[in-house]
Amino acid sequence: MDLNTAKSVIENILFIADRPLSLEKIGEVFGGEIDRITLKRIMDELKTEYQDGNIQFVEIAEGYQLCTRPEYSEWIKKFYTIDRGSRLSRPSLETLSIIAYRQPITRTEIEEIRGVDSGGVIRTLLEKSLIRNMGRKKVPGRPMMYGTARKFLEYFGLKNLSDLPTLEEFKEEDLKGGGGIEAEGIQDELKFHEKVSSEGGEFKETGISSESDEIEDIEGERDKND
Amino acid sequence: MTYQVKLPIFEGPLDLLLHLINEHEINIYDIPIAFITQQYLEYIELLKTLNLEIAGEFLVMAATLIQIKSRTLLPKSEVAAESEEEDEDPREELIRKLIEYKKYKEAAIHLRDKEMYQRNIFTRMINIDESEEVLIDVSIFDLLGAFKNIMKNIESRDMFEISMDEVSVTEKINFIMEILSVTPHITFDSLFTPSYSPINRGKGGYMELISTFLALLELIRLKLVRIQQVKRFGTIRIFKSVEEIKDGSEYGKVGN
Repeated sequence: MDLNTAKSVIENILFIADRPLSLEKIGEVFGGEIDRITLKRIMDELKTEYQDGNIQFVEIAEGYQLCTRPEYSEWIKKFYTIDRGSRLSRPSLETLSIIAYRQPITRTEIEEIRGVDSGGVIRTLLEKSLIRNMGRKKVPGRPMMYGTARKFLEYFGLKNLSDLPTLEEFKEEDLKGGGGIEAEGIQDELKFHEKVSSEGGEFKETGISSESDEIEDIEGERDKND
Repeated sequence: MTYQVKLPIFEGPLDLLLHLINEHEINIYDIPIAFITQQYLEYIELLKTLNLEIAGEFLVMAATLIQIKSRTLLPKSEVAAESEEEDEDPREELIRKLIEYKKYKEAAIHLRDKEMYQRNIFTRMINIDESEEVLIDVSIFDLLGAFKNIMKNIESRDMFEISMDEVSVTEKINFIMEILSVTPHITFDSLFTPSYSPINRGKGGYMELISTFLALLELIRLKLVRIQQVKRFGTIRIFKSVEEIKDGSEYGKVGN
């Protein structure tokens, strides 16, 4: 098959795809006529073509996807009411990062690192399909082990798990007087409000979503106390 | 004493300790244990005066700090003579924990950045999902109503109940959970169609239907399933809410 045609076919398929498509999946349409290396080359070409485009061509969750550019998000939100749900709470993010780096990991092991009960947070993460069961650990009590799900990669815009910085990279950052870690949530909020107000407060819904984050925090705790 | 409300600001004792370390610009590898214990206890005390409830973990950490402090106060040689492992710094375990926890906290900040960035990127999926398909919870009365309809349909089919095979609720619970482990959701109606019942193959007697319904109610009570529909009087769907959260506990054991 003519490679230019193949490229157009792929671009069209990606245009209507509602989730990241893997190289294997895309290859199926050509019935094995085009090998992986060629496919990869076509993808790279497409990526270059989109580099300055108004739409993004991204590698995400072990696949490829077309998506909007962040600089147009306010316009998109102005046109569509898109409910992105609340942002993840701090305990959720903390637990997720532990699971991401240490999977498969049991609840007890997570709690050992965090020093607090994590059952409620794990439940929330499971409900959001960000993590998944990875079977039971072969130790007394056969506890459930958890790992990140595909949705985790999609949610954070990661190509794959190795797209995450290594833990050592965090280690290198000065461990003394790192400052601002505990105020992260607040700074985050500040940045957020700055951003909103700098836009003339035109897009109020962003402000609301930061409030609903608070609500999620509280709910997470209620879960925990069930 | 029942402590249940967690501190709103600090996630846990490790979080509080890291805060104190940062605040006083302490070298994490060389924590002045007496000082930090005092700071920590003062903080707990403050929370008490503010009448905030303190989670148990914070008290455990207070005890640990005091223990470490008392061990550092003991003459070294004496301690070493009593037990062999005592050559190490009593703070070591705590320091190791703090450093490890700090790494994940930083990883979490990285994820937060990624999340913030990603929230401004839209894909087709989200736009399609954005259609009116908002799921609402189904009330118990809706469920009873739906069950009544099923029973009515069965009646009109002139069924005779002969089989005395007993289908226990527990069996049905396991059966529903089994289906939900392979498919994300099932419709309420399909749960009561004969093809879904391997036990009474095709017979679908009253007892079995009732068992299935009771199993469903039990699963709702145990919060193992969620019952939702797109709109009122729409198709009722059963979703698995979560996996077993308590390590080792299995749904099969509960319904007995």
